[in-house]
Amino acid sequence: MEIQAAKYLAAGIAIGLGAIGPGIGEGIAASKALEAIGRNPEASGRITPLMFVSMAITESTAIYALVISLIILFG
Amino acid sequence: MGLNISLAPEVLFYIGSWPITNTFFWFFWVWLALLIGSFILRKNLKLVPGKVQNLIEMLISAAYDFTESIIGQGKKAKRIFPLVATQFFFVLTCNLLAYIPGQAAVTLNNGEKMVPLFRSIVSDYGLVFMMTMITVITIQVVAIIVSGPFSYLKKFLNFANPLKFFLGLMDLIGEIAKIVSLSFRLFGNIFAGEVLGAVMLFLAPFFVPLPFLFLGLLTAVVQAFVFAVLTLVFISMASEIDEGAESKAGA
Amino acid sequence: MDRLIQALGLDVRIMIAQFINFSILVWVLWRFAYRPVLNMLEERQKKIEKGVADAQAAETRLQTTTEESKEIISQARKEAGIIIEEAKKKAEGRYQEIVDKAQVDIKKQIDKEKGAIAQEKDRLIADVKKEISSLLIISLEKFLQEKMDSEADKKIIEKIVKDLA
Repeated sequence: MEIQAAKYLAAGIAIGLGAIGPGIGEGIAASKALEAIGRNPEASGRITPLMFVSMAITESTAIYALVISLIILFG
Repeated sequence: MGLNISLAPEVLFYIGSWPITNTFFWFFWVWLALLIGSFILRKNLKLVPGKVQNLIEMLISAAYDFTESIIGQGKKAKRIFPLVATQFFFVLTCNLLAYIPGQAAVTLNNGEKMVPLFRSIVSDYGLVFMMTMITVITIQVVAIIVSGPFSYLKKFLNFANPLKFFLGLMDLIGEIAKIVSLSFRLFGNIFAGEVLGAVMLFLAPFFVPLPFLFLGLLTAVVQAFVFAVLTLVFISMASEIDEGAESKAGA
Repeated sequence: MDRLIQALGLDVRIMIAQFINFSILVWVLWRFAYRPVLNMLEERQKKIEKGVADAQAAETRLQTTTEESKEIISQARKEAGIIIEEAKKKAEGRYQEIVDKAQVDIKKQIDKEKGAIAQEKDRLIADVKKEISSLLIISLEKFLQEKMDSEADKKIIEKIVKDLA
């Protein structure tokens, strides 16, 4: 296998696998937040921004994967 | 029509030896518009507001209330509000500007090849990196002011025992990871939205890109919000004299 | 890493320019947008609070004034009632007095009239008696002149007349 092909493959696998965890995590965060809003609709104004922030933090792992795949591609 | 995706912003032309990229070009116009807009706003501010002033006041007061709700009322919120609010409003303006239709069709010949004249401003890693650097520098300055330079240094370089040394090292890595994650989050999301839109437009020009367009619109607003709020959260964390400093690494 | 930087299109000069531009943007927005707007909001809030407080004060003042005026009116009414009552009482007393006086006067008048009438009557009766007795005497004298002695008869007649009376 050529080294360039291996790099493309590795980059794809890296970002693909790295996106699994945050995908699940963000789903859990969203479901819990919606549950909380359903239970207590008055608090939606407080919960929604916190949900977005926590989802953004959950996303970090995927972003690390993105960075790694970029490094693999161009590094 | 080939799919032309470039990670870097395309160079439109050169002024002297300075390459003017399409993102920098539009950054300049947005910058100028915000500047002139704020001058006009300052001049036309009235106690009894008109419609436009009402809207701007509503936005700013909502942003300020949110800032206060996270960092607490008083001087701290007042000090940090300009940075956070500017990040939010600037990124929001830039992101929404990308959704004016018809932009993808306009191209320009820069001498070497045809390049698109328009590009979402935030999908320029240099700009995002600099904005993140402003945030990170602010965080470090706040932390130094709050906890004093020596205990600040002690957080990262602690030779008391191996465990503490290791945790300090992790903290250091966490600070660097903060820069990477904060900048690549905004850049990655906006760039991915652009690429997704381009790919969808390339595959099926009619109707199919619409849901992705809406998703991208949501992302544009949410990412602007998230970038500003994370800055706010990091600064508010740094501004508290914390015992459990080890636990806040990462993100 | 160089390739990555190139791929991301990073240029130090552009980045520094953007850093400075963004800092200027933050400062200008703070100086010309956020601060004036927030100050304006605060000022307006103060004004509104003042307005509300003024309105409340005016309302309470109005209420107290209304209450005061009501009280004054009720007091005035009460006083007026008292005055009228007094006047009535006085008037009644006066009326009674007048009536009493009138009655007394009338009685006095009547008594006086009665006395005068009685006197008149007595006098009349006395006059009549005298007249009648003198008439009788004259007639009896005329009648008896031929038969009796005048001296002894006179005495008898006088006695009869006296008895008659």
